[in-house]
Amino acid sequence: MALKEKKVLITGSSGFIGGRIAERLWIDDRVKSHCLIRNFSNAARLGRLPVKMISGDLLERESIEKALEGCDVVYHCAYGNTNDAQLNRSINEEGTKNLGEMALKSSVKKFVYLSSVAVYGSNPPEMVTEDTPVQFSNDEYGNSKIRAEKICDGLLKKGLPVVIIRPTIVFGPFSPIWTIGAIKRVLVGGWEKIQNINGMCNAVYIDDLVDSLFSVTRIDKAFGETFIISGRSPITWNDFYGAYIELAGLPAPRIVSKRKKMVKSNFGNLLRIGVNISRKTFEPELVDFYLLMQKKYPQFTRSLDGLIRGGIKSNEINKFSQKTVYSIDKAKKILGYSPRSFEEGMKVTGDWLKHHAYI
Amino acid sequence: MRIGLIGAGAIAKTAYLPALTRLSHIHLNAIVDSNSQILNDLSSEYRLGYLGDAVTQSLEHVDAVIVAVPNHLHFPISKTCLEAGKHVLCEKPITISSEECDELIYLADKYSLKLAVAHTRRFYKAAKRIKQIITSEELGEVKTFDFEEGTVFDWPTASGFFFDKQKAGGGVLMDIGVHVLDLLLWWLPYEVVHLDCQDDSLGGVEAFTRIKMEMSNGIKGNVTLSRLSVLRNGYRLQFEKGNIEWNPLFPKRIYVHNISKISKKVIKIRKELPVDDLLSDFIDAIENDRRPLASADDGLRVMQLIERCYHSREPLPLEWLKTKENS
Repeated sequence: MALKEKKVLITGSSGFIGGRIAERLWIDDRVKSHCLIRNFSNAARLGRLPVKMISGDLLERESIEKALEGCDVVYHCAYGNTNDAQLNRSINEEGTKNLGEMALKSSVKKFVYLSSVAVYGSNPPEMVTEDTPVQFSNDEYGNSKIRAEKICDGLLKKGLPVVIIRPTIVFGPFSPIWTIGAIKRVLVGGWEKIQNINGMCNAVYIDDLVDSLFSVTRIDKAFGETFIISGRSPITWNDFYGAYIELAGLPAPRIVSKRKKMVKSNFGNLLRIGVNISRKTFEPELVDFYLLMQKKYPQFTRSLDGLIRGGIKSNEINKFSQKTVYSIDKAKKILGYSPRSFEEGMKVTGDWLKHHAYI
Repeated sequence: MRIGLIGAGAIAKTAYLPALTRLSHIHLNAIVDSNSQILNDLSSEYRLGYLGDAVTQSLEHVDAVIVAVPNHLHFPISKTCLEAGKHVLCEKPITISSEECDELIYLADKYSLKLAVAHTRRFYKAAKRIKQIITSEELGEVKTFDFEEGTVFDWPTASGFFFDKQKAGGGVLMDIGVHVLDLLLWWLPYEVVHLDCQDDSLGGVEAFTRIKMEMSNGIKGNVTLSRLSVLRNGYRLQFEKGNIEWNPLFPKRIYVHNISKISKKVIKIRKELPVDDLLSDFIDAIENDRRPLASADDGLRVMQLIERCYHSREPLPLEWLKTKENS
């Protein structure tokens, strides 16, 4: 099923992945997507496209009905990212149920749910495939994705043509965590090489993910299936952040021992407390002084920033040590998935970061 | 002076209502909005002659109005108010076309009313100080300019009209661009003889715009605007004998570099209340029958320049938009 001349609904279209789906649908196939928008404050990127924006959210059946009108394909990318945990859970679970049930009643022929490899929990095994059991953990995001996937399974049994996609970490233009967050992190010296810690990073470039999302609607064998989507081959976290460090034109980080790292972290914590206390009293003067220092001693202020912000935090060490590799064999076999190299993705990402003045 | 506020959305809540609370000489006597929830919330806070959703009815209770509604309604509502004999302070952009603006100016002249536009940036003390530096030629003549302004859009818009081309009239250029171009034309009141405009619109409203300009006296410069990312956020003016840099997001500092004196200094502004000053200027212009600091003519000049930009716009070459299929 080609997407040309199809009507497509995207939830979460004001977000990073949903936004790129809408962009690609327009650029590749001149498809004007239906976009359900809960918060217009985030819609500037989407606003550049001739899409149909429908105000509402997944907890309002009336707005879903309006958004689904005449749609053949649904890309369900929305998830709750508010400060209210209860609301987030409602959006993820009740919202998925509402959307799926209404899609079942309407003419939807393909329903693609964007899940995450977070469903495998905080300590996944070294090799993960679609058959690896999902695992509840202390990560509410992953738990919520497991529950939403179960809702999708139920909808599949009722006849909704569901496909579940579990991407690994997604980078590229507009990626809030793995591109914008990553460059901001390295710019303040927030990445460091810790001795004997060299975990695997499974990163996928946004357009490879979007290619897979388009493929599943074309390939009948994909229906009812779950796919892991990652990059061509895994790299290390040091490679991942190292690429951003290179883009920013910064010197490669020195290797620190675990012990030194802990001392540095504690010193950073003390500094942070000091800054927070003095900010309350001396905010304008402190900002002036800091800006002056930044101009005169950029290297020093960068190191100070890194210290204050803590570099790699102790609760991140587990994540950055893991050797997990997510297999994309199933996607290769069934979808003909063929992602680009990490370097190719980073080249485009670098151009984007320059254009938007991050570097 | 009794004033009415037409439109009680985000700009009213964040700018006009707080300013009106501070300004005791202006009597807010009417608020109009189509959202009953907003009206309900306001009813306990304000004692007004009129609180409701009918513009025409509200006008009986006021001498002047602030029009703070979505862009496409600036024209019809301002027109109604002028025809009813009320002075108008209209949010920016004054209208979404120069024809509409021409008509409003005609009506204001016909009925001898004041028609001002909320080009709030002019009311920053720092902006006035920069104008003074330019006109006094203390740093010599201006040679070039480079204005960059961009933050990630997070305006609490409830209706989303900003992203509807018909209602907003355009994207970042019709939004923050109005302020930037107004300051440019106020500081450097010359004809723009040449311009190139590139933006990232793909059929919707642009979120990133880059304009290159040349003015009749040879001044050249660039304006870059973004709704998608944090830019340098600085207005740079290069003079014969130095330069100035001002960040509109931290407006209390002007950085002045005088080459001939080999000196760098920071002009510090103690207090900025531009919306209060805008409202006071509007009322003073009515009471003393003078031209407001930001008048409809200024709105028209900006609108004409924006129209030229849209007319000549080219797509920005953005490599990351391309895919394997269309590269």
